[in-house]
Amino acid sequence: MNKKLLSLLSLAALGVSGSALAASSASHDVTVTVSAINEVSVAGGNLTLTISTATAGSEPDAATDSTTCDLAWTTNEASKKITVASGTTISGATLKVTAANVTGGTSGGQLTLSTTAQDFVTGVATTTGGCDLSYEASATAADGTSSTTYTITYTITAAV
Amino acid sequence: MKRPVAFALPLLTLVFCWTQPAFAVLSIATTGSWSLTVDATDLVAGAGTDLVSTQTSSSTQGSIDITGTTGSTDNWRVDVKRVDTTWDSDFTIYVRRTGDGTGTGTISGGTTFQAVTTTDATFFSGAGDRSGIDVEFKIEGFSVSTIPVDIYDTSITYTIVDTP
Repeated sequence: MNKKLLSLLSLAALGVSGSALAASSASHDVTVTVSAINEVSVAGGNLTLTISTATAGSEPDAATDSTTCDLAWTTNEASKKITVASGTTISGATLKVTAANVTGGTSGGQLTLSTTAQDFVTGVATTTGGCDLSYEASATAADGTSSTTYTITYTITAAV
Repeated sequence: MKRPVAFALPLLTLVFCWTQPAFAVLSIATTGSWSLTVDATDLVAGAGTDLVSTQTSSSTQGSIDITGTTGSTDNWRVDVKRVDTTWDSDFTIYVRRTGDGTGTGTISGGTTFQAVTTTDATFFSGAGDRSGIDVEFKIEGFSVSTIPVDIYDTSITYTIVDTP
């Protein structure tokens, strides 16, 4: 078989194999950016605690509320905690708060509120969570009478 | 030695003519992409709730053109799969055809969402050149509990196959 015939047969083979090459591909790129989500919110609105009763011979009874307000949060980042702080110095009474019935974290226990941020819920999981906000206001007879509004802020932040 | 060549030339011409349809380069091309950002605005109802689990693109997010057929009776099939760069196994991505495109041939199938895996599966089929075949995407599986903060990339890859 001479070289010319071989070449022609090679061309023929290419022609036959052309059908095998008759397929091509193309694509659409899909990009999903999942951003950091760290949301916390208070439900229940403003809360009023009134210290108005006492047993004779004892300090005034504390005022408590554990049903009006709830805290809810969502995070998709690990190693988070929720802190609590008062916007202004608390005077004339003592205000405490507890994270009760916590889901998605661990309660920091009962905290006496101040302007310094304290760990309210720790070990916040990368999920949704929530708790009841249990407040207690107390005052001594010596504190006298007053009426003050405090803004209590809850912040989800890095647990360092 | 000249006789085999003289015999082979007409034969090869016949073979060449017979294989001509295969030389029409059946081709597929795409336009469009889908870039999706998921953030706090995608929570079902704000803090305390999870992400909306499903995100859907516009119905005309992507488009496909098929060219190089030999005519309106030249049949083809489009397969689809995904090629992941960074992807989460909790995601399921779907694709569906939302338009017929235009052309002299026909098109059928692929109009309901089908999950796209890493293995080729038939998407739709048809005949003849078609252009502007719109497609829509859907991703299921968003949750703050299972999908970490990251950028996820995959390519929805279409392969056109010449069919009898």
